[in-house]
Amino acid sequence: MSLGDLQQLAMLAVIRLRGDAYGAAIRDELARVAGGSVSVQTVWVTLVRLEEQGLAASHEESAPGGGRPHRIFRITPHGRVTLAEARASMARMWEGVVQP
Amino acid sequence: MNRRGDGPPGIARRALRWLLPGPAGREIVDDLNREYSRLRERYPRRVAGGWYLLQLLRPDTWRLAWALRRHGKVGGPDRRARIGTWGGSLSLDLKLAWRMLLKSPVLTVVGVLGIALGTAVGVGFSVFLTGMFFPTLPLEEGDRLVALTIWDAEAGRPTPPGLDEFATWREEMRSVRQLAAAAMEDRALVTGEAAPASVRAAAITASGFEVARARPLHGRYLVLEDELEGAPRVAVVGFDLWQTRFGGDPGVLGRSILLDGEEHTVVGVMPAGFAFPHKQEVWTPLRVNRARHGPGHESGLFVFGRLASGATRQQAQAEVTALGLRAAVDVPDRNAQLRPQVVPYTHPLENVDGMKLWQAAQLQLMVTLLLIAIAANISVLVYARTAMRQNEIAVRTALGASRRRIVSQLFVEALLLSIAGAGLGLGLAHVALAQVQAIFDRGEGVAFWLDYGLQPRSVAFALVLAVLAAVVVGVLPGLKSTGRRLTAGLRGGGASAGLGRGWTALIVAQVAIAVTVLPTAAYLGYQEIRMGAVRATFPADEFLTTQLGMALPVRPEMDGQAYRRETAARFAVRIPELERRLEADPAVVGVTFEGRLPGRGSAIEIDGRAEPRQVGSLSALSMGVATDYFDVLGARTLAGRVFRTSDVGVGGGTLIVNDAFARRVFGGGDPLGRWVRFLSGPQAGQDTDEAEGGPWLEIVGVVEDLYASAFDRERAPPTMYYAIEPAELPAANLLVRLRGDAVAFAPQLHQTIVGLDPELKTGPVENLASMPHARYLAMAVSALQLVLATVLLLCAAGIHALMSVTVTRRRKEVGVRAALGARPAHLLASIFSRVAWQLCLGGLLGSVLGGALLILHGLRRDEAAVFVGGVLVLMLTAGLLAAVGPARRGLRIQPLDALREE
Repeated sequence: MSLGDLQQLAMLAVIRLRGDAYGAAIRDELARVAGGSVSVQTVWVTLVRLEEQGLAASHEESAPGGGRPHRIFRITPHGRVTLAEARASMARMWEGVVQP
Repeated sequence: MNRRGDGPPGIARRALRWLLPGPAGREIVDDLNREYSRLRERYPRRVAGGWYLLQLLRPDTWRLAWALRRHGKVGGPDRRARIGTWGGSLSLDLKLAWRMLLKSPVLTVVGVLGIALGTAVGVGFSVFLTGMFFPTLPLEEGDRLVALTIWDAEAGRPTPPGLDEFATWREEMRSVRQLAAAAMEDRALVTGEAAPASVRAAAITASGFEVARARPLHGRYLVLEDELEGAPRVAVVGFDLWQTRFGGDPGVLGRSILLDGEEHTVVGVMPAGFAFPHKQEVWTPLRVNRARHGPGHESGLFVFGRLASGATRQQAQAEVTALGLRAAVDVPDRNAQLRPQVVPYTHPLENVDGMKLWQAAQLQLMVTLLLIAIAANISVLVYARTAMRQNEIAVRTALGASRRRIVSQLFVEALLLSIAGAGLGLGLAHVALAQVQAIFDRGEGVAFWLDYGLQPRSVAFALVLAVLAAVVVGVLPGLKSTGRRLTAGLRGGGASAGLGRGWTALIVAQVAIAVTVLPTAAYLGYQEIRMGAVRATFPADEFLTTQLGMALPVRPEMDGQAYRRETAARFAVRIPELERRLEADPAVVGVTFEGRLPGRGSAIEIDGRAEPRQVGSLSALSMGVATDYFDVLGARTLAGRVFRTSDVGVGGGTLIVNDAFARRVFGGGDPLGRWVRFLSGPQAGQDTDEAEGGPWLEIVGVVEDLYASAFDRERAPPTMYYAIEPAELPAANLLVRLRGDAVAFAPQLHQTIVGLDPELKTGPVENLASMPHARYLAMAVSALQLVLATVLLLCAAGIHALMSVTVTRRRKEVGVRAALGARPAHLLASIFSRVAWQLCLGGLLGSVLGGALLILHGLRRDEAAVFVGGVLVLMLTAGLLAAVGPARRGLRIQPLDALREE
């Protein structure tokens, strides 16, 4: 399965955030680390597609301090394997490439 | 940081919230709101607001909306797991519902019985209504069949078409093809060895079978040649008759049968279920003879046909109206007031007219009102119980259960209750309908299109009723109990059902609905029963009756007349011997006979003068009776005399009428000395030398009504009696009056008859009091009593439940008052006073509405007051009695216990 750029970035953001990967946090992580601004809806559509493909899963969790519950995302084992394959494919493609 | 009141545009926020449902949608909108706040820190309000509004138009927003609606929520388990989860929660709801129903056995039993009753009444009535007014004829293209009738505008009633109209329509109509006519009446059938029996016969044109498009099982049906004057007399028999009288023998074709003493040859057997045009068992040719039955003759035909291809009933009506107008011009004296009509096929057969449609609407109203009352009562019961579960509901809400979750669980509880009730109701309906069918089968027979069994649509109707009941009984109380007041109650330190004006309104409405609905339902039910209920005014339980006749073997050389002579001669010898043997028994009080001569039906003409003149056609029951008939029955003679031996036979020429006949026909005047004659049908009256009717008969006596309506004297059937010699009847009814147990004598009666002469055939011996109309009355009265009693019980149960909740909620108040020294009488008055004024207010409201409803149905104010007053007294009594238990519990409240409670 091939992963789009945004899908990979979103999956990496989820992994980086560990157990705190909810919608707004994922978006903030993407903006902070990857740079660039991604809309709320785009992040959520990406997350929905990842779930549909079985690459991610989510559950509802109460926010600390009694706030509204969040939907916390995690990467499934299948998702991790796919992400690793995508990374390996990218590395193979980069081999021997000399950027001017 | 957001400045106060500086949030995103409200309309856009709400639109997004609607577009993106569920918890995930809420989180997405929260993220958007956060983003708006960030923008608002750097940009003016209009920029940030504009950005926010644009989010509604982003394709991604709509993709998300689609995803949320398609999957139910974003993410989570896959669809199979979601279904599993849903199935898991349903299973849990069912378990909980079952436990709750067991925990409240009284509510469960009352609720199931109430819903069962409502379902039985609703389903049973729908079967009747559909069968009568919207039947599906089980014939090929049955919806294209129509009937043609005539409305007499002057008399204000329908009049059956005559042979002249039928012949004209058959020749000239284009929109109705295959026009046919039938004259239907009961005839005495004699076949071989079996006892004579009365059968439902039709003299029908051959085209009638083509209209039905039914193929015979054996042989053929009637053809055009059979209708010709002088053609051999033939008959077609029905399947059931073929089975019972001929043992299902395919060799029946060519055998002779006697119908009213006339020999017919069987030429065909129709398949099972064929009883066209109504509920017939035997068919003979109708011989159309214009010269014999010219204009003005009352021949009582049922005319029907199929709409031509592409024609509508409206087109047929226009055509027949034009023909009617032409007839009015040609023969204005007779036809000016006659309006031909094209109506649905079944309407003339079931006497469906404006009055009956009105009756059906009344019954529908009664059933609907009853169902509303039942549903309202059960809803109150469930609401009262739900009110006692406020703490449980509050805890579940605090633990995260959504309102939808709680209401759905209450709905499942109610659905379990209503499905159990619906199942029981279907069973009740099935049993009741089977009883009704059995009663009609033994009496008048059932129209061929009627099937009183439960159809799939009946089951579907019951399920729809069950779901509707579950919504009323479960969802509405659930929504009320989980409303905003719950949250307010939680904050106040205890969940509360929220007593107050709403609660009072509920109790008042409960009583008002019952007092509004019950009197009208009782009145409509009473009307229905009294219209059909006829009972004997003499001690019918002392009588046994059976059909009797001679069934000599038919020899090939015999013709019909010879057979009749020989039968009558043998019967004339056996009858006196049978009477002598029976009267010798000390258990027998008297023996007599009744029967009907062919050609003497119900249509009559009346005149009191020597020179006959047309007064008008009337109808009344007629019965041939032996000369000692009135003596054996113990009927009082009100005027004139009873029959003598000289009154018997053609030379007798006398009639005795009943009191109802004298009142209805002569308006209370003296009927003695007046003259009456029977108007004969197209195949009867052969022995008279008069063109249009039988001989004139003089009224020589008036007797009391032997059969009367149980409720309305005016509804006693007007009846004429003529003297007969039992031996001259093709089949006579033997009546034996007994001392002691009549039913126990039945085997001995049968033995006496068969022991006298093996050719003397008898039908089943029955007690006169157990005849179909008596069973119908008993069943109808029981049904009405059951319905009213159940609704009253439900009302009382509802009030009891409400009172229980009221007392429970006021424990602390009662405890405080008791602690302060209030006397028990004052406490009781305090508890009762509230319920009393609620009952009175509901009763007053219900009385006004119920009274108005009854007056709309034509009752006088004093009559309406009787019905309403009776129900009001019952309701108030039930309500006060229902309040006694909770009130006594209230008196036993210990002040300290009540004060300790939070």
